[in-house]
Amino acid sequence: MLRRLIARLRAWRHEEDLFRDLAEEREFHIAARAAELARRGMNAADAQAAARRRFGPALRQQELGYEARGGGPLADITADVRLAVRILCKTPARTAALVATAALGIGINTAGFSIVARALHPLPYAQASELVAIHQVSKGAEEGVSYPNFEDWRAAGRSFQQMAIYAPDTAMLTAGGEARRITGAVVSANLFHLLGVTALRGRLFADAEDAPGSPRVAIVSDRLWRSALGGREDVAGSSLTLDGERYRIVGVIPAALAFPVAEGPVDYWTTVAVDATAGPWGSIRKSRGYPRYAAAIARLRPGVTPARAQAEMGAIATAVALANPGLDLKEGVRVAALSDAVTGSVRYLYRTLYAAVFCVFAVACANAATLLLLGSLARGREFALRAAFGARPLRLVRQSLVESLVAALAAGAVAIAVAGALLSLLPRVAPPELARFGAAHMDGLTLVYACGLTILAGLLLGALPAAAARRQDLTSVLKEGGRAGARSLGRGVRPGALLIAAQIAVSMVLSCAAATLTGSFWHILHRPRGFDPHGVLTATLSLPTVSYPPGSQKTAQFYTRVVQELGRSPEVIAASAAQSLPLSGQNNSTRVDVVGDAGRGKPTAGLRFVAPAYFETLRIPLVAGEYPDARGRRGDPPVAVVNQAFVRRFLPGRNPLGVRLALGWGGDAPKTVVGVVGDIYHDALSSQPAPEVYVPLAQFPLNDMALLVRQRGLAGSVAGELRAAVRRLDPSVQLENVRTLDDYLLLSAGPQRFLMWMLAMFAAATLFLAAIGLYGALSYAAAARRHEFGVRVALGSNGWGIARTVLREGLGLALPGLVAGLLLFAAGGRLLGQWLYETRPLDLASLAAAAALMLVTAIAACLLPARRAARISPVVSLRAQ
Amino acid sequence: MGKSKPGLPQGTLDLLVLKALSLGKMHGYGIGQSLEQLAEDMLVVEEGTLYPALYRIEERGWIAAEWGVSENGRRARYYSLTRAGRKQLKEEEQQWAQLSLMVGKILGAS
Repeated sequence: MLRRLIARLRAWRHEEDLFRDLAEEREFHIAARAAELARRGMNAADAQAAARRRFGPALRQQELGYEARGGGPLADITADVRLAVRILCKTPARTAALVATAALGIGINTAGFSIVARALHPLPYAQASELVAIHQVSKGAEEGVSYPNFEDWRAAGRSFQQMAIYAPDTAMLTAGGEARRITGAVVSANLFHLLGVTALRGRLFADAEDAPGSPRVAIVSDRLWRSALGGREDVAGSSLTLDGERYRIVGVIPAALAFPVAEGPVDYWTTVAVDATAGPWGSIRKSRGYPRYAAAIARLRPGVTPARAQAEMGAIATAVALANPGLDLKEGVRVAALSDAVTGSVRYLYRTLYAAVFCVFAVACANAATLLLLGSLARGREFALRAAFGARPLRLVRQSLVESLVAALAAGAVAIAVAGALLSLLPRVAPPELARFGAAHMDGLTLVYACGLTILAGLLLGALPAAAARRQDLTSVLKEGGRAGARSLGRGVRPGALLIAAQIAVSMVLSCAAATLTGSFWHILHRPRGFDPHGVLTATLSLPTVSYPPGSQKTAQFYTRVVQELGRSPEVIAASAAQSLPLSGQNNSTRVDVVGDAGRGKPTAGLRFVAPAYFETLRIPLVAGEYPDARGRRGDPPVAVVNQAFVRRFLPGRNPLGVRLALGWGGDAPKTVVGVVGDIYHDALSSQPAPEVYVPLAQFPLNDMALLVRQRGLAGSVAGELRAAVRRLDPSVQLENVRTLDDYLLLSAGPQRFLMWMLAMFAAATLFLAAIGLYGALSYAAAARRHEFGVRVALGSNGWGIARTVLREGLGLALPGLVAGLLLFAAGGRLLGQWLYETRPLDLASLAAAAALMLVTAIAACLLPARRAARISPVVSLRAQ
Repeated sequence: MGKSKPGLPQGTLDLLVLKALSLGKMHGYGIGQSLEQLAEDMLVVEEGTLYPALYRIEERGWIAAEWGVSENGRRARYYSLTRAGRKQLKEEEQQWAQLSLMVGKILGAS
């Protein structure tokens, strides 16, 4: 055993010595035999030849001796690797293409894996499987939760250890003379206890700090503590200025444990006590109809399943609805594992992306395999000769595999760099909904994955050339007079042809997906929306409550004056202000009672607070009555304007003018409807207009508002004037989010746009690869048939005839691939459904566009080889023999 | 050369090689020659079987090889019996004697 190992190691170190020894022994034997024969009277040359003949096939003997002396797999593989490196280096261009292609496939796939692994990573909290999110549901869609409902749920729910509530929030942080907007959340005091988070500094909230009237307290993330707060040790007890209000910092928690999870960086938390301050319209916390909070979060008791909690919560919701007849809670609540709530909305995206990166991987591997296969076909003669001289087929197969593995390993090394670069690039291009992309990086798991994928790629790449190597037989190769594979692609090089067609098919799938998404996206951008979003600049602002008391005359006047100021500019066509801009993703809704309509279900409608000239600015047509500008001033009797969808839904067959509405939010006094306006699609992706109520801002002034300016010329050029106007009125007011409605439109379709770009990039990459593959294979086949073409030209065929042969061959590969791709997409295109907006997965126009693109690309790939073949000179091609 | 030459039973060549080498160290050609002489030309040792046998026996550690200089001054690979080889030869000789005795008895029965 030991002796064998030593022999093996020695053979490995001194492999060439081993071969030399075997050869020398053989030569000695032959010489001795020849000498013997010569002594018996044979002439020297004959004796030499006879001795050699008698010795038999040298190679077979040599292999036997080689193996007996320890030249087993270890030495062989070293030799194979060395040979593979030599062969790969001999054709540097081909090898570079091979490595680059495979690296692209592996790299993109690895980056995709890292993202998916990170995105579906368990939540960072203790016993995260016990955590559930509880949403109110309306028309199948999840809605927010109002505080009184939450209190009832918390009091009645037996399935839960604890229940908390949160609402995402943003605030202007003033620190060190600078102001910037940061993201945070308003939470119930028990949230962090429930999540099992412990404070790095200071403490968590105490339960009493939820109570109305308790002092303003905040917890900050360690990121904010280190950056804006200077990382001071005595941070607990110091103060934090948010939106002009002072909060006392009680603790610091790790940013990695921030909540809510799915959003971008969350840096501060305040308690629901801030919502208890009674404004001019009462406390948010007492308004059952106002779903202020995003969701309730609960920790299940051990052994309770989300399904059981769902059953209990359903009963509780019904009880709450019965006890509060004014509420529309028929559809109840939805309890879902928190991890699902966090990743649920984007899970489809990850799945689609992951499927796409596998398509890229497949095409890249097929492409690299084609290159390898063509290379090994060119070396067919070598393989056949080696086989004829006694090399065992398995060795030839092994050598092919080693060659592809060596190429794959080189590609894998490059791929890890590619994946790293992609991952560092992604957070910059990914929309905020996918902020968790930012957390993806090259970790151990990803590296292991990359290595596994590399080996898989190596085996995939080598499989076909290895099979081809096995099948080489000497007679056919030699019959061809050493011209490697002088045959058409269709017949002789079937595996290569299959690879090309497969590449085209997979690339076609990606092209179809990208085209369909593009069609859907175009639809999002260009559909009629009931208003004209183009050329409107907007900005949001938040008046400090200290100097602008909510609901005050001063607050109302501020907006009136800004709008007046802006109207003076010759470039401005119209200007206004509103809360919750269309397309911005903000959406306020409220319960609506039609006064005198007892007994009807209590519907909800979109609620908009608008300044004068809002409808003119957005070009929303008036259908009946009047705009609320004249009758909606401060001090006038409260008025409202509704849209046509509202009339259709809640006031069918009635004259809406004069109807009085009581709103769950926006002032207690019922409002008289004075006008009806056209429907708009408020959300970028909504499929139909929702009922909406417009309330004059002057009668209900809010501190958080947006300004809108319709201007002449290029949207955005009045941004300077907008800032100047606000600064003239009050230099302390910060303008934020200065962007056009078109910008919002792009942003609102963020995940769609991201997926579209990604798929378009992947489709383009695979299309390019497939075209290169087709081009390479055709060039190879055309070159191999140069002799035949030469003869045909010599016999009077014209160039066009020959070009047609090549073209036909190329399209013979491309068309079946194209059709197969279409069929594949038809089968798997449903994966996209989630991301399509009013577009069917099998959108004929998009598919036709993809097919046309593929066809044009394929023809372009065929043209050059065809032209080259057509120009062939019979003299040159025949002389080449 | 007209005499019929019996094929060797499987594995017998190994025994014969060991026997030849028990007379002293030899190169491959020499082993073939001496076996043919010892068999008084009843045996032709083919290179195609001799060398594989040599490699096989060497791998088992019964013989060892070293480079030496042949009678006509060329570098040649000389094989010699190892201690294990000597033991193996003794065992195989006994086995062969028993085998041939047994075969002889059976064939001699009338």
